[in-house]
Amino acid sequence: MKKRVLKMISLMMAAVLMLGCAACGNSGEGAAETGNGDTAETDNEATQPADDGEEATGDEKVTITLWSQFSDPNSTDGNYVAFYNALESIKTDMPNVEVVHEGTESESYKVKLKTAMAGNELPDVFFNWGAGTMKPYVDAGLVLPLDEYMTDDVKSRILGGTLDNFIFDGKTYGYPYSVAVASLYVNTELFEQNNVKVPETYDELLEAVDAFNAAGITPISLGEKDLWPGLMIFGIHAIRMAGAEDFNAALNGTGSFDTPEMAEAAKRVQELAARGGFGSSAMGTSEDDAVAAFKQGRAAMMFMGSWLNGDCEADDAAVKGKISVIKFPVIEGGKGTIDEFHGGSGETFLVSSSTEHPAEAAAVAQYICEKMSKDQYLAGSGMPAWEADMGDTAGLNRLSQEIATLTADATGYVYWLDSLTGGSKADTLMNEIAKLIDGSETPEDFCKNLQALNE
Amino acid sequence: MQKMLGNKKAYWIFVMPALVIYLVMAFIPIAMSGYYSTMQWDGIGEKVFIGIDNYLELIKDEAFLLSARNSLILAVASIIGQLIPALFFALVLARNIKGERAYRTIYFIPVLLSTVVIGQLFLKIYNPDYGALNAILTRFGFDGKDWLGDKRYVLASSFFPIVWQYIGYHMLILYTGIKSVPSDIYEAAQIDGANERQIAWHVTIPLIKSTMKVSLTFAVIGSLKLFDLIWVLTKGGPLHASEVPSTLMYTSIFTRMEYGRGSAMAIFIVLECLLFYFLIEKFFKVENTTY
Repeated sequence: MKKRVLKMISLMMAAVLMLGCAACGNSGEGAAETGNGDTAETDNEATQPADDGEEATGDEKVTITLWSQFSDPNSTDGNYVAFYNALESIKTDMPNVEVVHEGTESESYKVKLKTAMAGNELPDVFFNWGAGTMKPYVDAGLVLPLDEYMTDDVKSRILGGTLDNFIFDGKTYGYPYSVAVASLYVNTELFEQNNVKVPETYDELLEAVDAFNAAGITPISLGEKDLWPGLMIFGIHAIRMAGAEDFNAALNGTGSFDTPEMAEAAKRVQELAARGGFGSSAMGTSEDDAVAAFKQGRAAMMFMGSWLNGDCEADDAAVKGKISVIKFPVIEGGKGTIDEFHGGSGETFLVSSSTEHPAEAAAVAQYICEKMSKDQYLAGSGMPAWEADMGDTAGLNRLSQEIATLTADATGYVYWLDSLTGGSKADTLMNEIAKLIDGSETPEDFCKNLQALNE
Repeated sequence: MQKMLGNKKAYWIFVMPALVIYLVMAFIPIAMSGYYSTMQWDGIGEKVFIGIDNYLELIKDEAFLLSARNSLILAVASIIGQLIPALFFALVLARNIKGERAYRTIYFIPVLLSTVVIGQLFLKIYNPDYGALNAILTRFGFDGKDWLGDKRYVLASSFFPIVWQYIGYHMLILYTGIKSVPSDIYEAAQIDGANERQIAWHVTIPLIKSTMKVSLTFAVIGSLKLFDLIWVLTKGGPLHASEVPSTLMYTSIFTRMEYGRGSAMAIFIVLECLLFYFLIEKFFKVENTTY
C-alpha cells in the first residue's frame, strides 16, 4: 500500500516537473529551433556558392548577426515578405557578407532586446523603433551613428522627412524603410446595406455611429485591451483639434497638453466612446479580435495603420474588395486640416556600437532598408521611404494605392504616440487614454495628467 | 552506509549539484533583484542608488496596492474554491468507489493542460460576441456581459479558471495523503460503529493534516505569485482592475523600463510568500504522523 502511494507521489511530481519543462521548453526551444532552422538554411545556401568564390578570390567573408521581429518566414504581412525577400537577395548582392538572422515575435523581441542591451550582447544589426523608443539606447551609447556611411548619393534617394525619428543631436542612427499611415477603413457594403452615408464630416461620423448601433453592428472596431489602438483614436482626434504642429510640440515637451484644443479632443474621444462608437466591449477586445471582427464584416469602420491593407485584401477576408480608405473627417472648430496624418516613418535597423565590422554592418542595414522600402510597398504594407523605380504597379494592393492618393498632399504627420514617447511615458499615455475611453477620467484631468509627463 | 554518512566530503559531493542549481537559479537572481531594487535604473543606462525610495513609492502607489489586494483575494478564493472541493473529491475517491482511477484522471486533466491553452479556452468562453457563456445566458433570458472587459466582473471572471484549474492538483495531493492512512485504522473505526461521515470527519481529516498543510501552502503561495493566466486573459486590464503584483512587475520592467521599481515588486512578492509560509507553519502546527 505504502509503496503504491510513494510511487504515485513520485509519478505525480515527475509529471509536474516534466510539464514544467515541456511548457518552458516548448516556447523557448521552439523559437530557438525555428530561429536556428532559418539561420542554418541561410548558412548553407549562403556559404555554398560563396565558398567557391572564397577559394577563387581569397576574400575574407564577414559574418554579420541580425535580429528582427520578423519571426515567421511564411507570414503574408507585407513587412515580413519584404524582409525575407531582402534577406534572400542580400546573399547575391553582397557576397562578401554572411548574414545570420534570428527572428523573434514582436513582444518577446522587445524583452529580448532589452535583456541583450543590459548584458551588452547586442547583435551587429537589429530592428528597432525610432524616436522615444530609441532614445535611451542612443543616450547609453549603444548604437552607432551612421552619418559617416550616409553619403550624399544615399541621402538623395531617401525621401524627405523619413529620417526625422532617427536623428538625435544632429546625428542619424538609422535608415527608414517605410512610411505607415493611419486612415479610416470603411466597409462600403455595410454602409450601403444600412443606407448610411460614408462620413465626410465629424457630424456624419457620429450619425453613422448611431445608425450602425441601431442596426446592431459595431461602428468602429477597437481593440482597447491591447491599449495601443486607443492611442491612434486619440492621436487623430488631437491632430484634428490641435493640428499636427502643436500636437508634436506637446508630445516632445516643447508645447502643452493643457490647452482648450487638447481638452476638446479628449472630450470628443470620450463622447464617441460613450455614444457606443466602439461597440459595447472595446475594453475587453484584443487587437486581433478587433481586426477579425472588421475582416468578417461585423464592424463598419476601423481607424488603423496601413498594415491593415493586407488583411483587408487577403483571400480569406469576407470583406475583400468591399473596403475603402478615407481621410478621418475634420472636426469643426479644430485647428487641424484634412491633410494632416497620423503615422510616418519610424521603423529601422540599427547598428550596434560594439560591432566589429561597422562598415559592413551599416551596409547591411542600408541594403535591407532600401530593399524593404520597395518590396513592402509592392506587398501592400506602407508607403516607400526611398526613391525607386516601382516598375509595374498593376498588381499592387488596391488600398495601398488609395492611401498613396490620399497622402499625396499631406501637410503634416504625427508619428505613433507610443514609439514617439517610449518607456514609462508611453505606458502612462496608453493608460490615461484607456481611462478616457472607459469614462473613468474627465477630459480636464486627462490633459493635466498628460501635461504632468512634460514637467 | 554508516561510513558514508560519516564522511563530510561525500556529503558535499552529493549536495553540490542541487546546491549549485539552487544558488544559480534561485538565490543569486533574488539577491540581484534586491540589489536592483535600491536603484533607479532604466535597464540600459546608468544606475543611481536611491536606497529604499522604490519601496516607499510602492506603498503609496494605488495601482500596486490594488494588485496586492487582488492577490490576497485570490489567495482566499483559492483556499475556499480549491481546497474544499478538492478535499471532498479526495474523500469520495479514496473510498474505493467504482471507476476510481477514471475519475482521478478526469479531475487531474485541467492540471495537465498548459495554462495558455486554458487561457485561450476561457477567452473564447467569455467572449462577449460569440462566447459560450453569453450564449447560454441570453438563451435563458439574461443579459450577456463583457466578462473580461468590464471592471466590475473582470476579477471574478479571471479568477474562476485559476481556481478551477488546480482543484485536481490538490485533490491528488490529498488523495495520496488519504491513501497513506493504514486501512486497519478505518477497520477499527468501523468496528466501533462509526459511519462514513464520522470516519471522514474524525479519522481521516485529522490524520491528513500534514498533507493539507502542503496543499494550503501551495494554494496560497501559488496565488500570491500568479502571473500566467492573468497575463493571457487580461494582461492586468482593463484599467489595472485585474492586476496582480507579478503582472505589474512585468509591465514595470519591460514596458515602462523601470527596473528598480519592478525589482522592488519582485522582492515584495518573495517576502510576501515567505511571510505567508511562516504564518501557515506557525498556525498549522501538526506532528508528522508515521505509521
